Amino acid sequence: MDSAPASDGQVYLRTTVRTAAKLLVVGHFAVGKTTFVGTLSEIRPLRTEETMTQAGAVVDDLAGVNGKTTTTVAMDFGRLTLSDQLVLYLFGTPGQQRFTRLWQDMTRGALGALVLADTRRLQESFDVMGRLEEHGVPYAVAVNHFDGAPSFPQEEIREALDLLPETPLVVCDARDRISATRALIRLVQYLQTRTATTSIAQERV
Amino acid sequence: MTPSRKREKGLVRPYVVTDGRAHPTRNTFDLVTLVIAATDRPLSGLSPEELRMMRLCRPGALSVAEVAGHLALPVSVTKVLLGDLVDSGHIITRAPVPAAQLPDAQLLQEVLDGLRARL
Amino acid sequence: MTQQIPEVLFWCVVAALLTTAVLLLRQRGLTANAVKRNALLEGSLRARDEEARHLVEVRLPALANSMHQPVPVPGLLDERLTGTAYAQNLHRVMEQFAGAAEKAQARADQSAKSALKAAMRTLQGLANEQQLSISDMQDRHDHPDVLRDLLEIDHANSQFGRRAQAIAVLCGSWPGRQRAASPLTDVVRGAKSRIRDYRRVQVRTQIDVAVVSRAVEPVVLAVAELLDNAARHSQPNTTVEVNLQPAHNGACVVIDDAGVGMDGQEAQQAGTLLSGRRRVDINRLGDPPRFGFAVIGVLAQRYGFKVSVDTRSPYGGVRAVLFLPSALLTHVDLDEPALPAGSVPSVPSVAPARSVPVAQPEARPVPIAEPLPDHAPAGGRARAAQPSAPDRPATEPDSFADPDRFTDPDRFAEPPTRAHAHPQSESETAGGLPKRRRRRPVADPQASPAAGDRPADPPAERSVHETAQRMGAFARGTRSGRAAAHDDEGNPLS
Repeated sequence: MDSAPASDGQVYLRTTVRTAAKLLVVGHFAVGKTTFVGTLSEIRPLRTEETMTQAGAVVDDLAGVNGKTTTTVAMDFGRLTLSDQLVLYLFGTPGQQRFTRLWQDMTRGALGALVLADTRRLQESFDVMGRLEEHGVPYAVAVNHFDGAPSFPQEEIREALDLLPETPLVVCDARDRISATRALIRLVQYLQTRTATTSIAQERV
Repeated sequence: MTPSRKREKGLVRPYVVTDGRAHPTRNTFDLVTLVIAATDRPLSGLSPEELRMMRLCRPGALSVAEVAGHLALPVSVTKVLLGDLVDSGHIITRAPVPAAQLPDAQLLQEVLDGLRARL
Repeated sequence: MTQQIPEVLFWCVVAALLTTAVLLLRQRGLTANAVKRNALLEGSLRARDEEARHLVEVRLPALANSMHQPVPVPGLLDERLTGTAYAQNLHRVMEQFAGAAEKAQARADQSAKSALKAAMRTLQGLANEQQLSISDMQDRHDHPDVLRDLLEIDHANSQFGRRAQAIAVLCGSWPGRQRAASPLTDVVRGAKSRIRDYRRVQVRTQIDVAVVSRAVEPVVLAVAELLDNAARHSQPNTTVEVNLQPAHNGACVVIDDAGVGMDGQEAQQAGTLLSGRRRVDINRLGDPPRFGFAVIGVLAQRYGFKVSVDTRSPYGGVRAVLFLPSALLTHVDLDEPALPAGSVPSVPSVAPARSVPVAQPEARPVPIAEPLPDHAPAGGRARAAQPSAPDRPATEPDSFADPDRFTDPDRFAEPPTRAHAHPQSESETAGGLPKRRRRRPVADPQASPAAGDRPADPPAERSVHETAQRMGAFARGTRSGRAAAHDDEGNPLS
């Protein structure tokens, strides 16, 4: 019943890969995490949004369950092979949820986080940014460009988000590979400017 | 009867999959720990999930998160099974971000170079 | 002449005397007959009285009892009444009584069954719902201690669900879960998932057949009852062995235990129940009720598989064989873990999102020039940050809208409120963007949970020690997370 996977180079890592790095892509629902991860990932983004009703379907109109559509969302999960030795994993998460153990595992060893924001719903990004700050995860902010969204001067967005002067703020289009890559580059550049000890990647709890 | 392509989730409960265990025999798995299957081990005696894991991991390396995702198992359950398979020599791990060997700055530079190369 | 007169008189007297004597004799005979007849009638009447009393006091109660247990119903007390109209009438009374009692019994049975069925379906629904929550939590939490607890709850819930399901089936419900066609191995392990002693069950063989969709749940339930029975009737240190065997017109699930086995009468009783031919009386399952075989019988009859327990297992106990005819079997090609290009495997989830449609794209930056109906902000600035309903889990708190949240430390531990406040001017930029306050790294959230809420200094460069501390704090979780009233979403309290 289970056949061996087709030898698809896209599924498996190159045999030479020795190092896996991890970056988080965080933001509220519908801010563009899935699109962002999907745009960059070489594998189809691994993501669950399975309706749980399928598994638990109760067709016999059982009281209390019928018609209830429960879905689980979503650790968007993408992969970029950066060199023969190095692979980068992107984990997208709503983050504004109270921290769970999986979040912890995701965050542990992460180089940093890219916060995706939407100017029309800026306050929905506040909580996750606060959490990243509380837990010492360095981040950059990328305002995902939505058509029809009003544009604001960068300074005003910085003021609204109460960003540190050094925290990068970029505008990106999550659908565009180049634009999304640039946002990540900006994040990594920022991480470089911090001293090596600040990167949580080296810390193990 | 149209054969379904999706495994029925929730039929076999995780405690049956792990035989009641919740703790991996080793605490070395991160979401991005890379694993690959050894090709010289007999597959007899493995549980269905372990077999699926071996079949999945034989052709090449994958991260723990990918293995969990492909097999539709919780990450924590995946780690228990992977721990067993490492113990029995069926699975070989490659450490995630070997921080001790690779200085942060160097890793960041490599990531940066890799990203720039994609532009 | 004068002599003639007395002679005549004499003869007259004689004649009169004779006549009188004859009359007397006749009268005596008549009286004797009447007395005899009276006695007879009286006896007969008494017999009928006795017969009626016998009917009320003995025969009808016996008849009533005979509906529940096999007791003999006595016949007439007085044989002489056999064949009389009276006896026939009594018989009609008996028949009417039996009919009425049976109807009442059936009605009571029916109403008991429907009441029980409704109750069990509710429980079943709750168990299913809880299982979804548990699965959700298992996906979301990646910690062995949390998993251990979840596995225990999951196990208890599965048994609970099975019990409710079994009783509902006995009451005429169907197993009540639609499943995809599944490999027989998964079906058996699904059954294993539902019994207390699952760790003693060893599935030895795997064969490449699958059970058709509609039979999955019934077969799971039937196998679960067989496994439970096997585990219950054998020593806790023995294993229950399951072998899957292809047969020429189907497949068999063979379950062997090393228990005590069944004697002839037990086996015969089991056989009757397993055949599903006898109507199950929920009032007669015993106390405590034993419904395992009865449930299997109902399912076997309804879905067309066969179960027998009349063989002895090589280990000394019972060998139960469940035979699935080809009509209930199929073949499934599961697309995992094979990964053809473009397959989209799922990954354990992080967040629960109720009522988010499948594959609903989460991000919606739209192409230029395409209208964005559900987000087009009227008048430019959209402050109402409520996204359109389908994108937003109903249970997800709107934690941003409350400006007090960021200024009042006491509020930190409270669950985020749903209300959208209107930001005051000091909490807005000139252009109308809502303003955030930076948070400070939390060294130990348990010591100072609200620390991060105060307007904070820019995070200074951290020492390794500090970072480690923070990560430790992180690992312990924030108090706000624990205190939040949303633990039903699955946050562990550990």
